[in-house]
Amino acid sequence: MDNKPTTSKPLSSSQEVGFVLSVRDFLVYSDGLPSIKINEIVVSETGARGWVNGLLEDRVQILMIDENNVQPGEMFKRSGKSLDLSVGQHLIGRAINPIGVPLDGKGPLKKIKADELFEIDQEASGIDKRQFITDQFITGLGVIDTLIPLGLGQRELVLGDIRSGKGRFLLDVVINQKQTGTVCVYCLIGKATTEVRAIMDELTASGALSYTVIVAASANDMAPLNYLAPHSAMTIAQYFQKLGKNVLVILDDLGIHAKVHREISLLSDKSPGRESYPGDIFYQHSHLLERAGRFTAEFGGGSITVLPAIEINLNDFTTLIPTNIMSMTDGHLLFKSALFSQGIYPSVDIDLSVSRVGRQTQNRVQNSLSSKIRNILSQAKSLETLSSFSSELPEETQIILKQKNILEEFLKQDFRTYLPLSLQTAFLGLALTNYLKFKPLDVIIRNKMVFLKGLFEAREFAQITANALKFKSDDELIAKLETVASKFDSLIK
Amino acid sequence: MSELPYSQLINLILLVVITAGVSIWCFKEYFKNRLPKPSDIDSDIDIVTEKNYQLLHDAIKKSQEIISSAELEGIKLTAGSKFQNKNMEEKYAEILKQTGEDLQKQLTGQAIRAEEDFVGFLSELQTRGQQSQNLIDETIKEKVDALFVRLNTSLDTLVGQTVSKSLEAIQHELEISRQATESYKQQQLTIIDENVIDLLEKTLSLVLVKKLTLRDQLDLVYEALEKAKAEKFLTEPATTTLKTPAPLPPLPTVAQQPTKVN
Amino acid sequence: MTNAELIDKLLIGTYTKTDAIRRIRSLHQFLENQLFASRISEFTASSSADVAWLSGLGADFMKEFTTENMYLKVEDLDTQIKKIQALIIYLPFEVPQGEVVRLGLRMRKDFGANFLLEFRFDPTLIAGCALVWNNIYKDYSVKKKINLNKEIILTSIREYLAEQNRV
Repeated sequence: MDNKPTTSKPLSSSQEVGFVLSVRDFLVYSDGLPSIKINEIVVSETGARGWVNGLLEDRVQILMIDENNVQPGEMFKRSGKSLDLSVGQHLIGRAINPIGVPLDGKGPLKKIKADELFEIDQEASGIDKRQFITDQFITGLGVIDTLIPLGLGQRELVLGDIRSGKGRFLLDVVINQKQTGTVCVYCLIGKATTEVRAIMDELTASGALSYTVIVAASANDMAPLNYLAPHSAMTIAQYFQKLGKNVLVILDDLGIHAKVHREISLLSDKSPGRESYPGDIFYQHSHLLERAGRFTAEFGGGSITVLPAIEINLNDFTTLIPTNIMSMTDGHLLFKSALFSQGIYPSVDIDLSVSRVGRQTQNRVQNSLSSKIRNILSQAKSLETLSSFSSELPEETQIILKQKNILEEFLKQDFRTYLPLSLQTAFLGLALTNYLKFKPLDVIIRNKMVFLKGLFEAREFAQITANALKFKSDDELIAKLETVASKFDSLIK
Repeated sequence: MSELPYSQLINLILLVVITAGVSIWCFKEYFKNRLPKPSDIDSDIDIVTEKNYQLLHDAIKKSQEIISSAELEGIKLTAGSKFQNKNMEEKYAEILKQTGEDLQKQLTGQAIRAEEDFVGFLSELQTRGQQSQNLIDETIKEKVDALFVRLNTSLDTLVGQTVSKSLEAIQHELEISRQATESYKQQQLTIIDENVIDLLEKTLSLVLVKKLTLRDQLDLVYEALEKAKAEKFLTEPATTTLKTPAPLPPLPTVAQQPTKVN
Repeated sequence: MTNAELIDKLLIGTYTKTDAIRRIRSLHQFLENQLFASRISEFTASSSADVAWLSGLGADFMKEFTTENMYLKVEDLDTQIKKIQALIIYLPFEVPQGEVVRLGLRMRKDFGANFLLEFRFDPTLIAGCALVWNNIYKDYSVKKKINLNKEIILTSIREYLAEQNRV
């Protein structure tokens, strides 16, 4: 089904009406409205808008999207419009709520005639309109781009417990898209108003707002708005994707979205299933996430990469919603608060995180380097347990453990930093050279920034760094670095 | 040179010592080879001893003479060599002095010649430099003139293009702003029209409430109901109960054959 | 008597749905009082009209209700009456009772004996009325007429203003 823009129908001289039978908070049941359709908007006598969400045998289920006290017996008229959103270039740099009302205090949205109305809830495109994912999505963070790479058009779940650095990571990914031409859509679902404001300010200060659209439904907004927020975000993403752009969508947080859907379903007397979620909870998220992907040129080209986030309890992340979303995404990144409090950023657990699609997008040098690093880390892990039994370790074991420490240190990155792919590769390649293998660990840690700056700025290394991704293999890169590594001796303290 | 008489002296002393040693050994051999009688032994021993003492004395005397002559020789040689050394030193000093003066003269002459050559070279350079400077100045002047001419022409074309482009852009902007003003005007007029209608409705609602009696109002209501009837608006209400479905026809059954009882 | 006949009897002299529901409730109270009270007490209805209506129902009507079937029957009658679709009339004024009766009789003449009305107050209509039937809303008010003839009105106003300016 093509996502065609909708047009509002003209009002006839006689209008269909319905009268409110019962009201439950934001859920209104009305009789009448004989030929109403799902997703249409109805307007009460006081001008409050409702969204027709269900058609029962003898009544119409309406979710209020405007705050108003609806009384039983109140009349609702058909407006002739369906629930749609005006999407265009004017949304870039603005923060709006899921039905298009601006939230940032910068005045009304400047619309132009070319802006179109799109239905908020649309079907995902079919297989014939999609393409294989071949290009890497660059986050600018070494641990992700090298070890858990993402592709343009991938859906990667970001899950972690409270204060595990997920929010910072997501902001960093958005800010690091500055030079890539990617349009970002940041969707906040059920977050506190102060948090929404903080994120808006952060994006403005870093200059990321010039290519970002914020769609926010805060915790004090009505549940239907929170329910619609991710759908609006995906609609906006689809508009830009059809213009041939690569779009990044962040859905923070889908766990709250599931809870809101549960609230609405329980209020409308739908039978509760596992954990009291309604039976269609899987469908709600899957048909949302399926709107992402990489599309053919006939369908506009471009891609939509989605990073849905969920806050979980690490003691038990096999609950319904995380496992559901894990099964419908192309991988997940697991953030741990224990790693974050140790100062490790990004605080991703590399062993428990996976990217099912990213490997095919990676450059061969990075790919082989990443396999090597993973090998060392896993060897070190098994050796660490063994080493706790013996006091004296053989030299090979010591070297592997030392390399693991070096790699862990080199994979750490400061908040708000961006490392280009070539520099990441050269930096991690340096960690595997013999030059560092025999240097004392405290010296390496102390001079980490010296190594990084040297690789980027020093004449001897800049050439190698610039061509890091063009070598035949990672061995060649490491060998090249070995030949000039001794020049660091004059720079390190 | 002082070493020579000294080594000769040592040689002499060695010679004396060797000579003494040889003579002693000869004496020993001589006395060894002789077979002495037991009776003559004592007398022979005395004679021999006497002779030995005499030989020794002679040898010592000889050696002393040799030593003294050697010493004399040595002293003579030393004195001679010292004298020769002194002569040679004076001679060499003189030769060195002479050589030094000669060398100095040569160097001074060469330096003067070199300086003259250098001065000539510098003046040559200066003239050549001056010539090339003049040549360069002329070339630069020509090039700069040509550049100015080209610059003038390109500036003229550029200015012309810029002017026309600016005019186009300004006209385009004017058009857009005209359109924007027009649409704004239309919007405002629409708003004003709506306001007028609202005002009219409000006025009417205030006035008619006072002017219209209950009778008049009810007449209007009856009129509306007649109109609705005429438009067939008030038809049969939609039924809310579903019709009961027709009973299903009975399924055909196979007729049973009566069983024969034997 | 069948339920339909009972309803017909109930709706004699009752022209609005609100009245009908209220009167069913009064009937319920009355019957409870009559059939179950330990002593016959004075029954007070909400209005004299309701009292008159109750007495007008007659002994034959009351005979239909016994201690066994009263509750069920009354509930049944209540459900049936609520199912009846009433013509909703939006008026810019409050209708006095006499006029309600006259309107009710007029509508019953054209549309059947059990036709019910429902009045709602909407001052924005200025004059005339708006009707809702079969969940369709139709506006016959002066407000609607003004909206329909907007252009003509505005043109007249513009002409008048132009004339004034000339003067």
